[in-house]
Amino acid sequence: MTHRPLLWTLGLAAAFVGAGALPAAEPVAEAPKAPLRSLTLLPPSIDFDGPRAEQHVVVIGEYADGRRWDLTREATFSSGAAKVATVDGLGVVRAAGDGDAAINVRAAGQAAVVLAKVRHATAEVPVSFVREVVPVLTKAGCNQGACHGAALGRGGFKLSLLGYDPAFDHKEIVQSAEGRRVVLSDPERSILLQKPALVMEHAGGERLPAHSAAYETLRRWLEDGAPEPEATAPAVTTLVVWPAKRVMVPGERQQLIVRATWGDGRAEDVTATARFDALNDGVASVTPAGLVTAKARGETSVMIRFGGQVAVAQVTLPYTRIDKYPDVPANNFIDEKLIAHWKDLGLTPSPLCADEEFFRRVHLDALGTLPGAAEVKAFLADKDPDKRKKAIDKVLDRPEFVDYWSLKWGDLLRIDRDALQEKGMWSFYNWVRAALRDNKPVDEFARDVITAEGSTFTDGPANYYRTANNPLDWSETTAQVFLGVRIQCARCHHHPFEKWSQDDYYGLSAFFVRLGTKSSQEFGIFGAETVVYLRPSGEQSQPRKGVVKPHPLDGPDMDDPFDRRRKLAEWLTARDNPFFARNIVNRFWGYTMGRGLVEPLDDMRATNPASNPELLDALAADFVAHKYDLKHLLRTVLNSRAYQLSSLKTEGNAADAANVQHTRYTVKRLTAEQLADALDFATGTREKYQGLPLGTRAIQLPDTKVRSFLLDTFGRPPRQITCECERTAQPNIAQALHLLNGDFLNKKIAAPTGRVEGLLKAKVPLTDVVEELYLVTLSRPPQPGETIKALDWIKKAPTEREGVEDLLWVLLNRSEFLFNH
Amino acid sequence: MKPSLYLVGIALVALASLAPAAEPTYWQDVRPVLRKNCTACHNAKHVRDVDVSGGLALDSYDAVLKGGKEQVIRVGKSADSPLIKAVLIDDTEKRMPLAATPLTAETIDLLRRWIDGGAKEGTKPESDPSTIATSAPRPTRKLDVTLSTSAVPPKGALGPATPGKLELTLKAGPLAPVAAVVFSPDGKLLAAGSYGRVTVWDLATAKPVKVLTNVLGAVNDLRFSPDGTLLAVAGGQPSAKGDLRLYAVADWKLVASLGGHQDVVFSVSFSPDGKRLASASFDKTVRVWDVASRKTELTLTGHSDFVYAVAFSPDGKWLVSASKDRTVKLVDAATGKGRFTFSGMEQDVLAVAVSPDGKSVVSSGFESGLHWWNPQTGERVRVQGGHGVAVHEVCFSKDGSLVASAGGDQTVRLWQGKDGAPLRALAVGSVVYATAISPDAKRVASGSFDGLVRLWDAASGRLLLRLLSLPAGDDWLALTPEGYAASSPGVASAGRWTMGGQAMPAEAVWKVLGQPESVAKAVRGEALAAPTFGK
Repeated sequence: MTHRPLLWTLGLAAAFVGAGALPAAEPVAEAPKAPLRSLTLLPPSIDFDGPRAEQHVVVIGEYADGRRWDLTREATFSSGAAKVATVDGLGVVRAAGDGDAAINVRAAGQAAVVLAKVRHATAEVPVSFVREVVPVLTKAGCNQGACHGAALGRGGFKLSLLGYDPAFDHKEIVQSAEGRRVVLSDPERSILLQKPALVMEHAGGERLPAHSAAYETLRRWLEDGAPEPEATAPAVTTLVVWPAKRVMVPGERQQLIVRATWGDGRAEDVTATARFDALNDGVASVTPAGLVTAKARGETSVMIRFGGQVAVAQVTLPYTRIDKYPDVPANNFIDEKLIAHWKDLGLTPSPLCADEEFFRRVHLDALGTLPGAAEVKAFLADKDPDKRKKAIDKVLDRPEFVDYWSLKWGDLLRIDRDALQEKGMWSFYNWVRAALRDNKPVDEFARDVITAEGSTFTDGPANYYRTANNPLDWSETTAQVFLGVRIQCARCHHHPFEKWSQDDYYGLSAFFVRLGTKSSQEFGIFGAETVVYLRPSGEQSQPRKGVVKPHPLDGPDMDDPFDRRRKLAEWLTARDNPFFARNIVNRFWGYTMGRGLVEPLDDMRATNPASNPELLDALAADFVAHKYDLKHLLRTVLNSRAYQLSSLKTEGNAADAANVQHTRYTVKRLTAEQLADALDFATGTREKYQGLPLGTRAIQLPDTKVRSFLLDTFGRPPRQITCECERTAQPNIAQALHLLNGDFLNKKIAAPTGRVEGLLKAKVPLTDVVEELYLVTLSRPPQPGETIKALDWIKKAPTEREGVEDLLWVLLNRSEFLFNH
Repeated sequence: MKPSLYLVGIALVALASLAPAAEPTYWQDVRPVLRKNCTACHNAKHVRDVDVSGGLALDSYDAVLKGGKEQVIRVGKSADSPLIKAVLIDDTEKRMPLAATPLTAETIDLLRRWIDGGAKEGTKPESDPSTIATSAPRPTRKLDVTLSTSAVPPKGALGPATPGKLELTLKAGPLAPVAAVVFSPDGKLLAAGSYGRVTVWDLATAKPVKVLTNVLGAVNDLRFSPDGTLLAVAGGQPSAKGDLRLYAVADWKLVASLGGHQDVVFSVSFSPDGKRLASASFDKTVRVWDVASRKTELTLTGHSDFVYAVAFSPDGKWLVSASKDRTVKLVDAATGKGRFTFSGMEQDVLAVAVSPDGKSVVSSGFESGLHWWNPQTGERVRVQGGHGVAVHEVCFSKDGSLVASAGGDQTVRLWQGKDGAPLRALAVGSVVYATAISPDAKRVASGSFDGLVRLWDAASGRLLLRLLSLPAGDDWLALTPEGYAASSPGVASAGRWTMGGQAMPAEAVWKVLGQPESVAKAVRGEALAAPTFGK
């Protein structure tokens, strides 16, 4: 298994957030000037059951102009019955005795009341390790990846990462190192308390100030004899944050409160022990206590973690306030959803792109191929108002569609001769091609892959079970490819940013546990053919708990006497599956729009919300409604106005620097294969790929093991891991040198069978030569000034041939050629 | 590489408000800053580990003045002081504290004023919670400790309740585990150690003759000198300092405190002639002391992690030590040179013992099998038995016929001394940390997580007695399985007897069961008749 560096970095970054840097000067937000209409108290009522219960109350003012403002920090709180419940100046209500108490809140001249019902406030209930102690350790950062939660622990003391294994943690705290960490008979002598309170040296610094609430929880637990986690200790089932969404202005603050519900039905306020992490500190930051400060314009989320569950609170800071939003036409529902969100954010789109830009763009995005010179001219000359729509239909029916998307699926499914043998590779590749040629619905495609069996030489999709070769890898790959979920973390520990537990991980792999691979008798000696077959029995065991029943992520236990994978495939492709359609549409949106609604494309999780969740839902619903038709999906996207916008920034959207909201087209560098083919096309040459007939294009290569320096340099993926990040558009010096200085390009330009040679031989007039060279590189005719400049250059060159070659060289090194814009 | 991930917490903000108008001093102003920001790496424990500390310790006034390779403060000249320069470096990779929030301007100003004002020491505050011995016992104990008996009063003897087994409950928990038990060489005394406390029981009467409370931290090991005149007590404050004290058995006066270990002392062993004492510590070292002069003769640094156990050979010429580094080392006791490293274990080795004939070494630990080694060749003779889980202590009887092992499986197991064959298991019912065999090999003692000392008959495996020593009011209790009890008056008045969960009239029960003579009989191994309850 590969732990992606990205995730680790993220983990460390998150770990450091807790340490908190000193705040820089922040803008001060102005409170609403409109009259206060009412106060809203969250939660609306309080229900305490048991001792040590507390509830944070948030006070939100609703103003006449529609704005909301957090008044919690300026409100005054008082309890109508202090013997029942007390309340402090920060709005934290605590149980004191049984009965009812009215908690009175006054803020900005208005009053409101929340009623607290208290039961069993003085009951003798020992401190629960799972419910109270582990959250304290997690909140204090003790068990984070950079500290004692590291794989080898720290300073000889190891805890499970973010407390996913309470039984282990209890043993480690109470028993390991011969019980040196705790003194049950005299709790405050325990180094468990003395170190984080800095009574003793502690490399991790002060984590639990002496006699703070967290410290007292631990002390009380020790005094209770350090009771172990009950075998049936409930887990957190849901985590809710209030408010879940806020539109704010820079400098504005909002206190969040978090409520956890446990498997036994108990619900409680966990604001004090939940962990808060800002996903984009530049837009909004959050304190360990859950106080959000809006900073810069944009949109971000605050990640909240508690007890292995996660939630997010969305924070939106509109870029500008637009009183009258311009009338932006919508081509289809994509535009409607985008425009709705642009209005919230105060963004306006760039204008439509020019026809030539659109035509080049749609060919590259749908076919990986530049349009021909004659086609460009014909399209530009066409006066039909529906010509873009028609061009899209035409493009989607071109044979290159199969080539180009087979390449994409090949990346995803890791079709590769090293893993599959050449015959297996061809068999899988040809099966994918056939599926695309037949426009096989994607759900059927996925079902065929997941339930594949038989010979890897004759049953293409059976090779899926050779790229990986054990149930754990199969389930990781399946989750990644078809669900867009990175579940790898949960192999060894609870997923740090998701709710996925080891149970979920091994429950998923249980679907594959009865699958076997063996060498075929007939081909075994010569061809290493593999046969994928089913065994009648076999169970998956979870390292900490033993056998787990097959169950998909967030799904119930399910089984099938013949082939468990059938049940998985059924669940996966069910109309209401929450992951499958969203994952596919997000990927294809990302491929064409240059950026996923969820980014990275294959990291779908609650804590990485979509930039426009309504659009993602709508696209997924439309995809399902149209029977998982890939061409329909692409047609819908390509026909949207959003796809056809100019790639240039405008004043109304420049603030969204990363173009998260798709207010313009996102410029992309040509992918390795697009570039190789475009160079061939422009120079009129044909690259010979080893082992394949002359004329085979880069987008037609069955795997990425066909030798090509160009393709490797420009980021062709090695297909070693299932990750969109494998294909890279990162620039490097070799790319520049290869195109600028290398004789690779010069040879192509000067090839005796090439375009330049052909044009000169045919004695085409120079003006037409210039035009053609522009059309085959930039997919547009030259502007008059460009033609004059080009002709002038050619005339000044030592020979006409050198001049024309130079012109082509210049065009091929222009960003306008290297980028899809 | 520097341990750049060591975070040094939050908030120096509070310090700003502390900045006093008076001249800053080490104890009042500077030490808190250093402790919060510097001493996690720059301390005496790590001073030799240059990768961590750079050879600089800042955890005492003298150390700060002394500096490392060079002085870090130039008294009176803060601008020239490397300490001030180090916290002001622009390069965040090099600035102190490393990889942590930089010091605030107020804090740096405080350090400057201190240095410029003469770097005064000031006065040490009255009590430093990390170094005082046992604190006063907390007055409120709230957990019940319940001890079962097999005494069943006949119907009606104690009221209308349905007869059942009587139980004695004390509001005394949670009790500190008993991590050390040892018999005196003459077999008359049994010493047991728990947190900050050593209780010495007279086995003739089953009463404590002395309770030692001036020991630091948990008592991890106890040993009588071979002539029975000294008792060595090993303890300390985890991750701070080791505590090794010698008491005169005649009057229980503290005769020596052997300082030097940087972490708790976990095991001690006297040489057979009683002239030397070996101590094993979590500071990764073993020290060999000259008992007469109280000086460290040797410091053995061969282990790379906690040393859990140490034992002298019967001829005193070599010793063995067991460590968390998964090895046992056999060392020449005269020179400190290693002879053998017994390895091949995959987990911590917690216990080691040498047979009285010097021909076998037995070790065990988290890999619970008993590993028998030949000390002449360094070869492993066999691995057998064990507890399935951790083994915390192993000991031989004086005649070598018996081996006892204390296990995390809540049993003491007895083995044949000659071939390691299993004899029997004693069901303690709580994780066992310590075990000892009486010099006549007739009785076995166990010390366990539940805070009780148990005495067993070695031949039959029968439980003879449970012993309990409470910090509050020096109360104590000795209770036989049959229910006979001897106790301090405090326990007699506060203990509650119950039957089937129902409270019984305590006085009536004590009348029948409060029989110190029967308890003393039990210690001698005599069989006791079931108590008779009058109508």
